[in-house]
Amino acid sequence: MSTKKITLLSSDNELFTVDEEAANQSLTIKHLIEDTEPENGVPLPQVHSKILAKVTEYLIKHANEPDNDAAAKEELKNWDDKFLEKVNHETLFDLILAANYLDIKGLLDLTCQTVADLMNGMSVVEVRKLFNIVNDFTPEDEAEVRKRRKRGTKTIGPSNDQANQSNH
Amino acid sequence: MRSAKKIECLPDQLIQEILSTSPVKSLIQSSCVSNAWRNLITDTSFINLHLNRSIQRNKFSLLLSNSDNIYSIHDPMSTTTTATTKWPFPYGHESHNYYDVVGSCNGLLLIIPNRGCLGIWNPSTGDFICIPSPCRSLKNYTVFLPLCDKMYGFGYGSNRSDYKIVSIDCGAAVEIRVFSMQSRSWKTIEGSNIDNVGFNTTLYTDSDGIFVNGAVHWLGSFFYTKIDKVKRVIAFDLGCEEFRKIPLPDHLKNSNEYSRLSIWGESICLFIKDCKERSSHIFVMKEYGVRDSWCKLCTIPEAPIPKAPKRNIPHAEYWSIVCFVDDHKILLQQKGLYNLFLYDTRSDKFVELELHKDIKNFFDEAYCFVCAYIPSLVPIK
Repeated sequence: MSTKKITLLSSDNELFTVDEEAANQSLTIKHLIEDTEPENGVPLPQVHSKILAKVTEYLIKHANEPDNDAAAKEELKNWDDKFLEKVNHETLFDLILAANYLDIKGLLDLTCQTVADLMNGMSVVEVRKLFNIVNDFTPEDEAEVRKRRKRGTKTIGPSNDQANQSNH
Repeated sequence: MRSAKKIECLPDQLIQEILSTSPVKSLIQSSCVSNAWRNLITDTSFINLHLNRSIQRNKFSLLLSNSDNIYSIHDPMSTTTTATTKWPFPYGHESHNYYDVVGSCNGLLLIIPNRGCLGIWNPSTGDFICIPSPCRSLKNYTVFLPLCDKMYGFGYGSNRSDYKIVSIDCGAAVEIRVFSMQSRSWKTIEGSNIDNVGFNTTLYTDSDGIFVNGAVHWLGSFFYTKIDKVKRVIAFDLGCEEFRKIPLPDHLKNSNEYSRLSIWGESICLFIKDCKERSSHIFVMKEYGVRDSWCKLCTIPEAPIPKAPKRNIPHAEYWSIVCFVDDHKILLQQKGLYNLFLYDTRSDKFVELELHKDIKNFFDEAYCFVCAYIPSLVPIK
């Protein structure tokens, strides 16, 4: 049985061809195919070819998810870890936006978790920089928050320094 | 205001998506990023979303304590992000306050010290409150006694905003009390179905209350005569505040073997030692309340001999379940020796959990406990 191929068209008019089964992991693409039956590729004007290349790589790898094969599951998990290893922050955020737009749950979970892990070792200032957020606390607010956090750490848990000392 | 940027700003929905997978420690810090983030992170629906995801992905931490220290191991199954943190005692610096965790639900722990008041503690945020003792209940509690006639349970009532403690004192007169966080008071439960539980027989419970499906469950041994005993699951519904009937098949009911009640996903399970076979079995009630749905989940072979047993402890061969890690890995604690082992039901292998150097020697002490909890931002109001 031959598999039906689907062509995807990026915002900069590059074509990507994947099996229908792989493409259907994206609910957006699935619905586009069902509704419009596009002949010259599914147009994805919000996704650049650079990102769509990564997305299709993910879709192809995840097309046949193993159900009960522990070794295959492990292999796929390792592949996921490697998949985003060398991706820069900009691409990672673009991938989140693409996964959200294309409605690919697995990829959205994976990319969001990667950003969450990334933030885990960052300071507040670094997080603001990563997300392009301007500090909108008034100096009074900030003093209050800092005071509360400090008070909190005293009764609750270790300060970051203490935590780092015991982290190995 | 915003500077020229390379990275596109993510919409709020995606920020929420990312933060809902972040560890609590990182979220507490992230609440200092901006007003919008602080509002999001302290919002009840976000706290619930974060909790649901953590439960769904079984992102548990371990709490280990001896009489001097409390440590938490975050993400103990991860090969890369495991971190060990030392916490101060929630009761403040009045140290050597032995205590026990007798209930755990949504990242909140019910703790009971050898003296003083009961406490509800969220180790992840540090929130802690003392609960006034229900009359005479606490006086006779000894954390060292494995069998006692007081039972505690912790969970929530009809919704997650009302956490409750149930205290059952099976002394000369049975007293059942419920503390509601919403009303901030204890009330005595009296009613028709208390008599059916069988508190009038000699009863021993050997496990802390397990909160599943809206009710706290204990495993009780009911002695009708000195030797005639029957095992039964006692269940108290925290919503309607009544006892439920949980059936046990005969072979479990009449088992004389060492057994413990535990949680498997959202079901209750029973760990039973098989002395003849020198192994242990785990039975699970797959369909809640249905007797015929009890089935054997797995058999755990005889425990490996610990590397360097330093003390001679009579019950070293007994396991108790700390938690289920995934569908084929179980974290077990060796009773008495307190070594933590990961048992893989597929490969039939035990792997001793590598612990931080500060906690390794911990287990040589007479008093120590281990429990698993899901770190959450749930506030104690």
